Amino acid sequence: MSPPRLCQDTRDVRTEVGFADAEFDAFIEVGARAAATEVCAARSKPVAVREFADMSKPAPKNLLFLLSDNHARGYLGCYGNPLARTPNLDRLAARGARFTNAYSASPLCCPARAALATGRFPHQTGYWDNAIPFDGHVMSWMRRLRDAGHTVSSIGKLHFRETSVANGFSAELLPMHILEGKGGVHMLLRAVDRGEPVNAGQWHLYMDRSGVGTAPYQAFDSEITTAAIAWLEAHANNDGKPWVLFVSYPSAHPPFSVPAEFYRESDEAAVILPDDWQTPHAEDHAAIAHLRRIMNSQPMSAADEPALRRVLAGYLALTEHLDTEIGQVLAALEDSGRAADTRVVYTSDHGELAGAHGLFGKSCMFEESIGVPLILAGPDVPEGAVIDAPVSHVDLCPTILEGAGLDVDENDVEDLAVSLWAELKTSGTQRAVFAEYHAAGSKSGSFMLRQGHWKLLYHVGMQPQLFDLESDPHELCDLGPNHPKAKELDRKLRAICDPEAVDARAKSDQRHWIEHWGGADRITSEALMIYTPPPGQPAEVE
Amino acid sequence: MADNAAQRPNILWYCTDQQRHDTIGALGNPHINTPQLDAFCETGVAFDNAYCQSPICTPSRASFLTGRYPATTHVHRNGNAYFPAGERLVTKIFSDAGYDCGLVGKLHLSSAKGYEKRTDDGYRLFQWSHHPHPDLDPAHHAYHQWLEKEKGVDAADLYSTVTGFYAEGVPAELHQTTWVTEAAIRFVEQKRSGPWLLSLNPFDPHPPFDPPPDYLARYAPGDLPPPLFRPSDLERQKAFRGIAQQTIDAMDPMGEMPTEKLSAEEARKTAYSPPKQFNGQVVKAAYYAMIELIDHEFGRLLRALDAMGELENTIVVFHSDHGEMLGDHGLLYKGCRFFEGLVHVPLIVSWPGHIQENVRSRALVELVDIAPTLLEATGLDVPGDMQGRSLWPLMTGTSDLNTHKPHVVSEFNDALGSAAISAPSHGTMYFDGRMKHIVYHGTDLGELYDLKVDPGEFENLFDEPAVQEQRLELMRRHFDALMATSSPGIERTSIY
Repeated sequence: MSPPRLCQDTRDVRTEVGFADAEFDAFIEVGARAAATEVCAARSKPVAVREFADMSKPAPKNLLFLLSDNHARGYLGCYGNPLARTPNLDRLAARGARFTNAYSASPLCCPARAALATGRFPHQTGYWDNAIPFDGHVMSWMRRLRDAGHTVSSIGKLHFRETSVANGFSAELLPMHILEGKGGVHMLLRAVDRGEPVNAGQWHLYMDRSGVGTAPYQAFDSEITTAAIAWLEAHANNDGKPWVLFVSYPSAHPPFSVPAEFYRESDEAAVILPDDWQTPHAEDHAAIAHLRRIMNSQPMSAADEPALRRVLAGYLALTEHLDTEIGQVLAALEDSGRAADTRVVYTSDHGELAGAHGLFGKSCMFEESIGVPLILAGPDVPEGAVIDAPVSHVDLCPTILEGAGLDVDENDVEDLAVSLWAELKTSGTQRAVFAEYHAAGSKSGSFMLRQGHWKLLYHVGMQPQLFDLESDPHELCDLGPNHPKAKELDRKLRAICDPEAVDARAKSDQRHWIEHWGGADRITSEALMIYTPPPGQPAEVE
Repeated sequence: MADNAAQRPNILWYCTDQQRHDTIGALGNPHINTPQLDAFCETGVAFDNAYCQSPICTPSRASFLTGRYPATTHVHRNGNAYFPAGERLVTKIFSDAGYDCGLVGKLHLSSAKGYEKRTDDGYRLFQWSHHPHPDLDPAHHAYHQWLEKEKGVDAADLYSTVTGFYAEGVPAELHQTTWVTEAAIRFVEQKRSGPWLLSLNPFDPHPPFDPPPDYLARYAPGDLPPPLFRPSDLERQKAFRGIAQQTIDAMDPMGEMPTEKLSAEEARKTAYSPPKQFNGQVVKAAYYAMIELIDHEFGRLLRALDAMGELENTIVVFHSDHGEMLGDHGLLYKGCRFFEGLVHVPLIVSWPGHIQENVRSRALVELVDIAPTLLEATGLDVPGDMQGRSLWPLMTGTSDLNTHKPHVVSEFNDALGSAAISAPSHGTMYFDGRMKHIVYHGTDLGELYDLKVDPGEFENLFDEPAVQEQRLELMRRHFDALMATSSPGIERTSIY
């Protein structure tokens, strides 16, 4: 029996009640989940969110947007992980607002990033997967700001189709896009009879390569940091024109091969394994069984425990490396003298399962996969605010446009995106947050609707799932479709979109791109990429 | 945003695709029914002699959207990989000046196969639909999304019924032309503090010739004049077989219509590859019917804008990017040719109370002149590197309505790719209002027409011994005119 993990709410306790580390650890050792939850409940509601926007101060002009890849909420100190070494992000959260229930719009790189850029979900844009990425046809908030006279620069990973003035940046530095404008075409095959091929390398990417070592992403991270510091030195004080710097790291995407300076062998023993890392696969929901097969996820037994511990220790080390890089950029912002009129956003495109449910990667609707850290800081953001209301990545588009003082209408924002300034003002609303997924590892479209502590997962052609995140934060107990809450959320989901029609449209679009790239046979015959390489590097294939 | 942006007029810029000059009732065609455009002509200035800078979409559109000639934009080819980053669209200039810009329909500044890469075009609304057919990336096809979401219609099913280059098309209420008006009204309805600019670019009357059935039924082919054609055309056109044009061999335009039903895929390809036989009157009837739908929808849009109170401070421009041979001289569609049907286009501008109303200008004008005209009309600076010349003085009566340019030019510089053509074609046209001089560069071929005595362009004088002295003078002027289309480039800051 593995030790119980912390519930979502408990993690929040640490920063909110100001436990010292030792006290916190002791608190955890008690294992008093019920007590912790009670503290949580008591603390989370009255967290005094100060009235947003001190109107006597001029609104900040600039934006530093820090994006990482594959950084799960549970792997930051400020989100309650006592082993995480993320002091820079923790400090950022302490001087701003932290969203404890933020969601990726679609848990895979390209669809998540397209939604981040456009403020729209895949069914609203058609950017479904890693072969149909953002290409600038739909308006991005970056382009809106650039057209409004802001300097908008990106550094690092974008994962759009290609560098283009239409993406919305004034300049793309060190841009990383899908490989050769083509991307992960194998996942398109989900839309045809033969189905998506098994990505055999995924399992080994985690289980065989985690630990001390080198991976191409970390050198690229450092280049990005150097470029970001140089950009801030050169441009932060330029001619008074407002600017956006979008700094985007490929970390903490696997492989979790990290330099010895970050890797701690002691972590291997200290990490708490997910409750269900050895879940008997026969109990899987059909959608998860399919994901497991496509990602080549092997059943794990006691013999696999050392390797799994290396995965988690490697992930901790990689997130520390990421935090170190981000810390340098935040220091450069301070050095530039512009911190007082610059807002900072930190988030990640999606999470990482890191062994939860015996899975690695993302591509599903479990919290570890689709949950993301989201921190918003700046002179007009309440210090130390913790927002528990569910929010989405698409909310950042109206948040940023409104923050810049632009007129926002239906061309910029559709109904599903809500300005986070409103969330900050009201300490969070009870709206339902939507997400969807139509890409690698999914046989048919999956849809999420989260309202309060309830979470409905609707899978086209399969049994819906309902989880109560309050009593079951790790989604181990599916309450099924007959629960009254499941029925209520199902109605709300159908008011947003027709899941069957959206699934059909996604697959129809995917078939279009299969033909575009020469047909299913041609794609099947091509090597399957394990992860997108940084610019100038060869792709690793099976 | 410019301080006085809020006072600037809106701009409605309606550009059809492949519509000849002689397709508007009030401007002299008694056979076509265009009541809305007829009424529109009464509200502004109709230019009787407007010419496109290329008979092909991409170079023509790149030219009138930048106010620069193809020789300067270097945008010569349909299907080009990208639009050059250094070229600035006039819509971007308007956007920078505080205009809220929208596009509905095609853009076609670079390859549109699958989808078109966007450039820094200034459009906030981008409702792209290159053509109505279902072979484009569905996620980018705004017209199809409208069909599916708002009409509950599957686009592939809808278009599977169009079975040839000539066919009964989709019903008017589901037509791309209708969608353009719907999307336009929606855009204008949105609240904004400054002015708007809306580019509306429907695909019609580009082939296939597939108007809605009820529109098609309004024309009796036998009542329409046949194409401009003499049997000698068949022999005459043989010399141009090696020149890139979509009709490779001229045909008798009063032939039989093909009877075979094509698959949806084959029918789609007829947009760019004409049939081997046709009847010019039947084709003309369908072409006119497509224009009548445009007329109807353009009129509906103007009435809707009027009802919203948006029309009184709106400059409205109506024109086409190039023409269509429509059977003249045995040719259909377009190519490296410069007959009137192909290079002479409609151009009508209105802004009641600000420019002359119900007048026709005989001045030679070029589509490259539209961009500087709009800038001058809205009080914005015309960039020094813009080559077109504003029509504002003519339209406002501060200069002679019938005098603008001594000549117009048009060019085809490998503008169409075609498997049937072994070598790229390069042709240029110089027209001074009477003499039209055409050179097919790198070949011995040329054309020279005196449109005063031969408006149908049947008598090619190019090799006539009696005109060679005159042709030498025309050649010199032609050469000068072409040289003037190439931008002098970067400004001089010192003497060496």
